[in-house]
Amino acid sequence: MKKQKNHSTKPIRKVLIANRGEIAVRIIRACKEMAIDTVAIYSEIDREALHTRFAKEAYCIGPPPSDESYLAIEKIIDTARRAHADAIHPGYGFLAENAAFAKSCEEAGITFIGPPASAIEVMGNKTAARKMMEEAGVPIVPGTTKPLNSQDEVMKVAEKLGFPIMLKASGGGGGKGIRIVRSAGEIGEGYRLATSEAASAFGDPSLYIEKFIEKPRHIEIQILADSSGNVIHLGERECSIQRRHQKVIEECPSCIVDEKMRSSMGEVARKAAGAVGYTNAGTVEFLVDREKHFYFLEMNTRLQVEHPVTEMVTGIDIVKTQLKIAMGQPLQMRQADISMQGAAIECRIYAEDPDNNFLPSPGTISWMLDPGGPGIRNDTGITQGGEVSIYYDPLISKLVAWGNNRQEAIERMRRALKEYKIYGIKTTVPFHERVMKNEHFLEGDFDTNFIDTVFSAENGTRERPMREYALVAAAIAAYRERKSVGSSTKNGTFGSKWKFANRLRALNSKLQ
Amino acid sequence: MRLEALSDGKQYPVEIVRKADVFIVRIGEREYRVDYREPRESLYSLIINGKAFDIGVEKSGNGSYNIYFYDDFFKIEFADALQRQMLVSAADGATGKEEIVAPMSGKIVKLLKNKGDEVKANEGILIIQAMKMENELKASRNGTISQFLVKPGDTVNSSQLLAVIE
Repeated sequence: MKKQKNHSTKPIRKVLIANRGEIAVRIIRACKEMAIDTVAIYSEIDREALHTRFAKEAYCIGPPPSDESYLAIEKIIDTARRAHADAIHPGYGFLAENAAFAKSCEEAGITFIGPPASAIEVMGNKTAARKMMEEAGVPIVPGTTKPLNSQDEVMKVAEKLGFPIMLKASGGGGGKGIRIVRSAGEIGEGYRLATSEAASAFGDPSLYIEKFIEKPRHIEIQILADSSGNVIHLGERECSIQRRHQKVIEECPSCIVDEKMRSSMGEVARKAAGAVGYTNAGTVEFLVDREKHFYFLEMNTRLQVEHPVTEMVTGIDIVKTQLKIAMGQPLQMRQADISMQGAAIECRIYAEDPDNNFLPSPGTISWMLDPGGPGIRNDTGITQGGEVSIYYDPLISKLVAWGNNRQEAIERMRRALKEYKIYGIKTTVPFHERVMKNEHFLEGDFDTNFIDTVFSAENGTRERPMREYALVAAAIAAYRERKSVGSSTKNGTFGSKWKFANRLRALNSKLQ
Repeated sequence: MRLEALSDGKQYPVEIVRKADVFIVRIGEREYRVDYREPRESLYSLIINGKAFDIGVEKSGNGSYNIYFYDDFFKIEFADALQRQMLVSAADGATGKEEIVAPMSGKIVKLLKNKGDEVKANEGILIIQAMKMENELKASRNGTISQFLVKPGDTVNSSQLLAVIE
C-alpha cells in the first residue's frame, strides 16, 4: 500500500463528536484548548449528560438504542452537514472502526479524524491483517494467514504447529468464535463450536489457527503517523490486567519492558503502521510470552480508552495531536524527542457490582465526591445526579494516577480510590482497591489470566477486618429506623417479610 | 435496644443505647463508643475510639442493610427473635411458590420456557439484557411455570416480578 503524501493543510474550525460519555468530554476539552468549535450529538436519554452540555452546540439524533442514535451513520453525517462541521471525531467504540463510516465522511467532504478507510478495512479482517504483517516482517503468532474451511485442514495445520492451539474467526473480534484446543481429540468439538459462533456473529464461518501462548502478557505500542509519512511511537502500555478478556487496569510503562525491548517493539509497530499507509493515532497490540518474545495480535485503528497513561508519561496530548494530523500538519516531534517520565496507571471504574459477579448496576448517582490532589486525573462523563443507563457501556470514569515511579503511582491510586465516593449505584472502586493491595500485582508478576484465576481465588478468601464496623454502622441504622417509625415495626409486616425473604433467596440463587 | 444481626451466615447479638450524638453499641462481648453524624443521606461519618470512618449505608429491604466501605461490602440483616425465626423458615421453606424478579433494570431478550412448562432447579427461565450484557435467570427449584408477566422486548425495572414457578 502506498503512503499518502499529502502536504496540504486544511484548518478544522468545527468538530462533531460522534460519541458520548467520558471520551466525548475528553475530545471536547482538546477542541476547546485549540479554539475549535464543538458539536455534540445525543440520544434522547442523554439530554442531560455532561457531553451534551459541554459542547458549544448539541443535536438530538434519536432514541436511546445505539443503532438508532450513536450508530446511525446517515443521521450523524446529516447533522454534521447541517451544523457545518468540517470534521468528525469518532472516539472509541460505536463507529470508530467502521470503514463504511469513514468512507461516508469522505464522500460528504467531512474530515474523518482517524486513519484512511482502507487501513481500517485491512486491520478489521484478521487473516488479511496477519498476512500483510507477515509480509512486512512483523512477527505474528505462529499459525495460518489464510482462512481454513474444513476440519481436515485444521487438523493438518494443528499437528504441524503442535498443541495447544487457538481457533479464531477470520471475520472476528471481541472474543467471539474463539476456542482453545489442547489436543487432537478436542478438534472435532472445537471446530464445530467455533465455526457456528463465527457464522452467527460475523456471517463467515471460516477460521484461522494461532499457536496458543501460555500465560501471555498483553502489551501495546501507541503510534502517531502524519500524512507526510512520519511515524513515531510513544512507548508501550501494559494491559494484562483483564477481566474476561476486557482490560480493566493499564499502566505505562510496563515493568517487564526495558529500553531495548521498547525500541524493538516500537520499530515493529512503526513498520506495521507503515505497511497499511496508516495516518493519525493508532495502537499495535502484542502478545508477549514468558521469554519476552512478542507477537503482533492486532492493530486498533482509533484512539484507545487507555490513552491517558501514555499522555501522563510522555507529556503529549494525543487527542490534540490527532486534530493537528487531521488538519494535514506534519508531526512537530521526532522519535528522538520522545521521552518517558515516571509511571502512570489507569483504573477503569465501571457501574458493576464487584461483590456479585460484576453484575451491571445501572441507576442514578445520588451523591459523588471526585478524587483529586497531586498526580490524579479523572476522565469522566458523568456527574452527581447523572444516570448510568442500561443502553450503553457502564464506564463511569477512568481514574489515572501519575508518580515518579510505579510505586508512587500505585500509592497515589490507592489514596485516590479511597477518596472517590460514588453512592446510589455499585461500582468497581473496591475491586481496584483490592488489586492495588495484591502482592502479585505489586511485584508485577501477572499475565492476562491473573484476575480470573489467581486474584479471584485470593479475593474469595481475603481477610475482612471491616466487618465489626459494618455491624456497628448497620446497628445504628436499624436503631434509628426503629425509633423513627415508633412501634409500628413491632407488630411486624410478616407478610412482606415472607415475600422479601423469598425474593432474596430467589435472587441469590439466580445470580450465582 | 437488643437485636440479632446476621452477616454471611453468622449471627451476632447486638445491643444499642443512644446518648445524644453518641451511640454505645455492644456486639457480643465488644463495646464501641460511636460518635455518629450523617453529613449526607446514606453517608455515615463515624468516629470510634478516635478512628474515623466514612461508610455508605443503604436500606435494602425490611431489616436488611447494605454497608459500603471504600474497599469492602457487607450485607447485614436484623430481626428480633420471632422475626428471625420467621425469616429463616421462609428462606428454608421448599414449599410455596418462587417468584422470579429482575435483578436489575434491563430489557427482556428471550423467554426460554413457556407458561405451563416444567422446570428443574438451575434451568434457565429467561434472558435479560442490561448494558449490552445478557444474563440468564434460572429457577432455584423444580416446578411448573404458572405465570409469565413479561414478553421479549419489554423493559423492566429492578425487582420487577417476571415469572412465577409453583
